[in-house]
Amino acid sequence: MSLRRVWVQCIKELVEFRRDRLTLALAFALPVGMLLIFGMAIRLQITNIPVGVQDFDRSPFSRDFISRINASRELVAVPEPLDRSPMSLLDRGNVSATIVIPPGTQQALAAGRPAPIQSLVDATDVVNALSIKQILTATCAFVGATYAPASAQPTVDLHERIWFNPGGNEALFIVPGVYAVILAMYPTLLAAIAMVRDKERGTIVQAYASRLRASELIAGKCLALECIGLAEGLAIMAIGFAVWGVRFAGDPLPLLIGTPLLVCCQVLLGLLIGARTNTVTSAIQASGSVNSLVSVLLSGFLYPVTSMPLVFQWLSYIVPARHYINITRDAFVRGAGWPGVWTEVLALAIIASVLAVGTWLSMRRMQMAD
Amino acid sequence: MSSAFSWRRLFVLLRKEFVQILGNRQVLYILLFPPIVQVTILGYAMNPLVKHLAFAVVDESKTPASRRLIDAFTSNGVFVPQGGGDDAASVYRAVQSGTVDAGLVIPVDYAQTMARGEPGNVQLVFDGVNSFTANLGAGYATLIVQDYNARGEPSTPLSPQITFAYNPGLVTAWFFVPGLLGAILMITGLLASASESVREKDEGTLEQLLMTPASSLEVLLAKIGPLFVLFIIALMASLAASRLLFGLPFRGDFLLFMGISSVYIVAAISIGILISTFAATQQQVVLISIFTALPLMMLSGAFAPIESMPPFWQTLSLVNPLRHYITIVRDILLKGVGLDVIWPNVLALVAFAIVAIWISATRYRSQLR
Repeated sequence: MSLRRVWVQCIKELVEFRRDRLTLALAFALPVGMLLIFGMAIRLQITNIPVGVQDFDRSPFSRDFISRINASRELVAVPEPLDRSPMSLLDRGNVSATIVIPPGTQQALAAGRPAPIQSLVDATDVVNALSIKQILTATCAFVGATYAPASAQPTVDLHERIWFNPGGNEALFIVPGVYAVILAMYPTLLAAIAMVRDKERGTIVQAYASRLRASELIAGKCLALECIGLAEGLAIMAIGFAVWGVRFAGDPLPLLIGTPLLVCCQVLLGLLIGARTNTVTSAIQASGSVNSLVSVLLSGFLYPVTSMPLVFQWLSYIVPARHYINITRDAFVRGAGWPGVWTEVLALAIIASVLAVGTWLSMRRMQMAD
Repeated sequence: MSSAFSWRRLFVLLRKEFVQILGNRQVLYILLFPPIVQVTILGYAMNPLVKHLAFAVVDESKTPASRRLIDAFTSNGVFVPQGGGDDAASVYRAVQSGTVDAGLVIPVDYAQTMARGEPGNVQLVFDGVNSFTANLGAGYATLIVQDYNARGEPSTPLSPQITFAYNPGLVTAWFFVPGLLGAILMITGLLASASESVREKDEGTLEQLLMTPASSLEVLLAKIGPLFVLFIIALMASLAASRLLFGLPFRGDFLLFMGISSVYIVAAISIGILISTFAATQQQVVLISIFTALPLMMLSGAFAPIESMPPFWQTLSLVNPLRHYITIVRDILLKGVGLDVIWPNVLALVAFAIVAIWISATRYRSQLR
């Protein structure tokens, strides 16, 4: 392997990349736009969900109950006319749940008789439905305690603490995840295009004819795209710091080693896809849609991996973004450093080596000398 | 310039486009396969509810009472005990290093304080790195302890009777499939139509097409035709697969649904053609398509609720055809409501499709200059 040939190949790639103004602009504009949209707009925590209340009781209790619902960040009580059926209210779609406070609820409570509060919850959004259930149950327990004679039984007091992000600042959860998703998507896309473009234009024949070896071609392209990927990473992390103040919570070393490894995995995957496909369109289909979807959904970026069916949990171990997301979240939020994430860094290194061998093998199939 | 609209010319052009697309096996495969597979696999895999949280317990009390509390936590599959420790510090360390998602500490004097009739203090720490999971988990924990405190009988006579409408089993696929259908139709529709029509430019046949007497509208409608048929097939197949696999209900009017879906598919294809008028090469087309499709998907309510977005983004999402389509699909499939409820969304979708076709027809002829 000649280092000079690798270097020349790398320079050639970078020059080509720089000349294509639109690709250059999109390679940076796309990730930044994605980061901004995710960081600013995407919130999984429910807030201000409208809940229709039909208050037949009209007592101090029912007023208390309604103000207690409004006091939660999650729900907003909307008074509804008493003559509409709860189902028709949900059908209209203006409220996500209806609550019926039957007449005589306060008296029943004071007398210690059971007082059911009826609620119909729109379960088209499953998370909303469950959260509404949790909030209503907690509200009933809280308000019920003040209006009904307390039970004498001793109870358990649960002291819940949420560590590392006690304010529940969702940007702190979303933004480090977006870093991983972006670095999993774009380097792969650019690498696949860089590889297949030579084939589509027929310029790959020149590489066949030259003394360039498969390993040198891969190393050169990989080096160039690694630089581009790292530049993308640097750009988005700088913006993350500037806009949301996302900064290192602990030892940055795992991130500093993990990022080049992840970019390397993704670039190799892109080259592999490029070597296996023949047109830019199909290369982009494979790397753009399949890889992006897998990286977003199997990495635990939005929904926890542990909630998925077992098969998908196993499958997720070969997704580089899944390992890298733990590294970024640790580096920027938890701050535990090596003890928490050394396995993830190791996994990335293993995936990178497997992909390197795979890419090399498929290049050899493309009539290249070893 | 072109003469008046002619059905005969449209028919001839349609035949050309059909022959072209059906001759390309790879395109057929790319258009039909991903929507069906993605809807079924993702509908199966995606689960926003919290399950199997790794959970470390330290029981310093070691009494029947404390073991009952631990059982209460672990009996429903939300919390899965994983290791534990001898003292509180080891549980804290496990949470700190991220090896478990939550840690429960039951103090030495737990049973004694409860026996004295005072509240027993129990500590539960969550790894808040995933703030969404932590919050849902904390909500579950509160309910679990409330149940435990009640010991079978209600602790307060005030009890909520909650009924889940439309999706009583809380099947998550029912929530995701409409969003996935819309998102995948949008991204595949964009990509396919944009790259199909830019190819005409790449291969230099666009000049020939524009030199014929056919009007831009005829050329465009002919381009939309075959893709439209393919996407309708993909949509029906995905719906059938979701019904088979997840029991996805179809409670509303089938014809209304197909009509609205047609409008939506036309809108997606027209946006793709519009993109192709801006791009010179396949590569640019794809990058611009992804650039357009991603924000549309993110701001649609397919994966993250619109109500939780900041007001600015909620307003912005009103011009997103995907948002309206997903609302309509959920309403028709799950709620079974009709036009009297969804007309504002339908109106928005129709307006969007008309504007998209109109702009791309205007730009289509001028793109060579």
